[in-house]
Amino acid sequence: MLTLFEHIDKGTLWRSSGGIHPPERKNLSNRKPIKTLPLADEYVVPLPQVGESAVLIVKQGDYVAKGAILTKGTHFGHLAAHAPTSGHISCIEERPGNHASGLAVLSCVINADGLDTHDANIHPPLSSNEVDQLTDKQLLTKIQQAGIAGLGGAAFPTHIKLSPASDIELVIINGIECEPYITADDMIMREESDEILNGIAIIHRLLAPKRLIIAIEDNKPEAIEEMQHALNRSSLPKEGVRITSIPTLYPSGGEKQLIQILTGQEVPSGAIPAQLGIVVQNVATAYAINQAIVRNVPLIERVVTVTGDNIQRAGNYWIPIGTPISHVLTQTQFIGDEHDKVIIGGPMMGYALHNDNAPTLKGSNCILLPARDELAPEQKELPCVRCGECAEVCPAQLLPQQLFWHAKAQEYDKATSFNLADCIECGCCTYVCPSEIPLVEYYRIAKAAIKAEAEEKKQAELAKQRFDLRTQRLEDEKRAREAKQKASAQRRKSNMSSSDKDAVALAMARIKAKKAAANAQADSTSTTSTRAGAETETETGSDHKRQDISAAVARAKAKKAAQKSAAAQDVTASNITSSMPETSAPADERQAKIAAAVARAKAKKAGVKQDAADSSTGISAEDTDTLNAPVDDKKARIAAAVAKAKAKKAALKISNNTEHDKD
Amino acid sequence: MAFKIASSPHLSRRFQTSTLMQRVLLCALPGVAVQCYFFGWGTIIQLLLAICVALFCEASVLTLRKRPVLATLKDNSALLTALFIGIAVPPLAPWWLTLIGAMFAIIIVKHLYGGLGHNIFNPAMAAYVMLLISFPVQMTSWVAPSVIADQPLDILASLQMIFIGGSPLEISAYKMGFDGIAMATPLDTLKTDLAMGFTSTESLTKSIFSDGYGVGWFWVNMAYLAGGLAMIKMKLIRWHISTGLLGALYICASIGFILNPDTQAGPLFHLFSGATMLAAFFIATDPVTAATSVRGRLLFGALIGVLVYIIRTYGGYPDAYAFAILLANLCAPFIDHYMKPRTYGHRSRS
Repeated sequence: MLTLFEHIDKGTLWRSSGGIHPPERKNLSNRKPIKTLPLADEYVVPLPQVGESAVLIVKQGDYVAKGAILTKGTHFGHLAAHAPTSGHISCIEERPGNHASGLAVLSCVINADGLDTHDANIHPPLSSNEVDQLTDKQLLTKIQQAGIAGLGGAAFPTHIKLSPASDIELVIINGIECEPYITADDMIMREESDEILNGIAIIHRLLAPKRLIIAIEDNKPEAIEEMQHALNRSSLPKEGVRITSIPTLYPSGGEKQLIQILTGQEVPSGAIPAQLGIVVQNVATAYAINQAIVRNVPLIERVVTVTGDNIQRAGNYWIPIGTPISHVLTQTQFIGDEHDKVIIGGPMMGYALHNDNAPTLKGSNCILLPARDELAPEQKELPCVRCGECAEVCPAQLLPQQLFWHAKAQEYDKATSFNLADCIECGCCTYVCPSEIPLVEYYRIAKAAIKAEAEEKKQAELAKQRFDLRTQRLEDEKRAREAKQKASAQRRKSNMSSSDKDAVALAMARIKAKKAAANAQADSTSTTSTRAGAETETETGSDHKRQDISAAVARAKAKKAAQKSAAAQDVTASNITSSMPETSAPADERQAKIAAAVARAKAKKAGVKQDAADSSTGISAEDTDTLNAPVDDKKARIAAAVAKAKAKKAALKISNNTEHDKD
Repeated sequence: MAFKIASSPHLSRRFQTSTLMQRVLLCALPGVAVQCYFFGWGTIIQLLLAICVALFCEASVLTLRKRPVLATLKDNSALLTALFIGIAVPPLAPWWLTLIGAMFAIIIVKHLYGGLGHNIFNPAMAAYVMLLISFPVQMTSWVAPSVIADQPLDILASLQMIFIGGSPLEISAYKMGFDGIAMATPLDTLKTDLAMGFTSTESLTKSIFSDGYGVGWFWVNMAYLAGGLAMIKMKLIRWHISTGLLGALYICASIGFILNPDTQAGPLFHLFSGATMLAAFFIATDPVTAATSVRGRLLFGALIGVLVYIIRTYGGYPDAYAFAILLANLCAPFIDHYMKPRTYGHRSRS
């Protein structure tokens, strides 16, 4: 049993399944050398990465030279955009994009000055020695800075492919170009084979694979010959690097199909070739890499096949990236009208462009302008007769007819179970369908719907998660709150000793007793109390708090007054002998004494009364208290005031007496 | 300028269903011609009758279903169905047999199931089975080619036979061979003989057989085989179903013949008798009702082959293609479900 490398060295080819042989019509464009077109008035450089992972480093009105960098980004996948020619930036705005959707894309519009002045960074070619001295990192940075993307059509950033995570054993340089009509790679291989080989040498150095295959379809004998000569001249190791001619079959140029043909291996579904230790690069990409490394020329132009019966000057052209398609059409003498198609890419996988103001992109390898009936006359879709031709030609070994059935019925889960995701949209099934069913269109719609469905599902899942989390959070908060309340209640309870409780109860009792005492006093002063009653009637609306406070104040005052009077009485009692100047002293003394005694007795009585009232009323008193509070308070206040006045009077009297006594 | 937009691919093979059917018809012509040669004007009359009825029915149903009539008629599918009914009905069968068959095929089997591409059963075969079960006598009265060669019927006589019927005596007299035995198909004869205790070798010496094959039938089969090979060459059909069918029949017949040479016909007799080649290349390969994947088609063909052998050998009917094909039609979705090819990049069928 031979190893894979022995098979590769022998040139063994495997069979890929399916495939078709559509009319190639390549000789429309591959019989003349690659030409250039006159400069356009303006160039439109789309900046899809700006705003997401990159920033503009130029502004409106700036002068830019050909090859000047327009964007800067720190993202690993960032690909710089460059000015395709020299001129001033006339505006930075949304312009129709070169995409099947025709959606506008933020673009930098450059007004060409017609001089095509090169940027200062572009230098004369380095010698191979100088190139060898560059480190791998420098090479990769240069490739990234040059904005190099895969030129086979997918436009994947090349520097990412060239810095894989795992070891690469096999590098395939794709010169298949299996799509009908397109000859851009064919022509660049014929004309720039040495540059391509230099580029391949750089790839070889970066990836250090065990084998490198340059694969070219056998319908390009001139290209194979040129490349073979260039390989013989090149610095690449002679063993381990070979050119392999592949039988012409569409879609052999597809990455997955090419890997299958050259190695017999299949790229696992959903994986990339690097997982098999394989990297595939396009020949035109190799050319661009060489330009970037050796001359520091960024990717600002590419070979584009402009072909079809609606073009009088069909051929291949070096077209700056960002050239409006309309300019290309004018220059190559487009003879069609708005009922015709402008196809970007080949007839099998290219997309029809709605607006020819869109610019060419890095991946635009062909502009196909077919005459009305050149490709396929418009046909009505007929019922599927289950002929199975589609399954015969499907390179992914799918069952297109079942996929169609489920896609049309919008049974997307069933379509998924038939591996719709593995469809590469090569168009073979539609090409052979005798019922003219636009199968690929159905698959695209189904894929888009599945994607949207998945997105919706994801959003719904997120929303559900959010809702669940919120519910959980509210629940937690509620529980925490309850726990806190419970804990603090417990704490309060445990902190509160039995004596405290008694103290509280006592305090309450005291307050009540005081109130009752005030009541009693108020009752005794009948004249004022009636007035006070009238007053309280008018003031019942005033709030409890104030009343409570004033009541407390009154109580305190009353207490003070009582103390004062008591003190005064004591004083009078002690000075009694020396006082009483006018009236007979003993009589006065006795009077005062009696008065004081009476007052004391009154106070005592009141105190006893209070206590008795407190103890008798008990809890029910509280209620009545609160009800009568305003009235009682008022009364108490009045009573207190009266008591105060009385005490003052008495004191005054006594003091007068004593003063008189002194005098 | 704003241009026309369309989804890719923009290229088409420009080979439509109508062309496909048309070429299948052309490839069937040699077989039909040989059949006419051996069985006389009757075959052509039945064919034309079936075609007229089928096209009329198709147009009527399409009108009722509010479908484009002319565009659909052009797909030639009704024509093909009519062709198979015309050549499956005995050449001198009464006209109403063909009429009922064609109507049943187009209206019930095809359009009631949704029209082209949606029918479960092969319309021609379903109609044939319906006729065979409903009118067994009329459906099995094939006049032996040797009789026709001896007493050729002109076109008028054939028309009279088919449309007016002639007197029963006349017909039965015509249907009698020299030896006074009512002629059936060679397969029928063999079956009857085997049931009567003859060995197959003895039976095959009868006048209805020559060189071990049924007179005429061998050449009819050869003509259909040629047409079928041409179809494979032109990629009108793929080889899988036919190969599966013929292979399975050959293998089964060989095993049976080796085990029991006295009571069974040889494998080649099976391959070149009755409707084998017609069925293998033209009827079983009807894409609408067959399995679609490569392995599924091989299995589908093999299933028909085995069923044919079993019914021919042990069943009550001398020929078995209609039954076998209908049974296989029933199995086609099932076969397709289990014979999904492994998709690129997938380890195995999930």
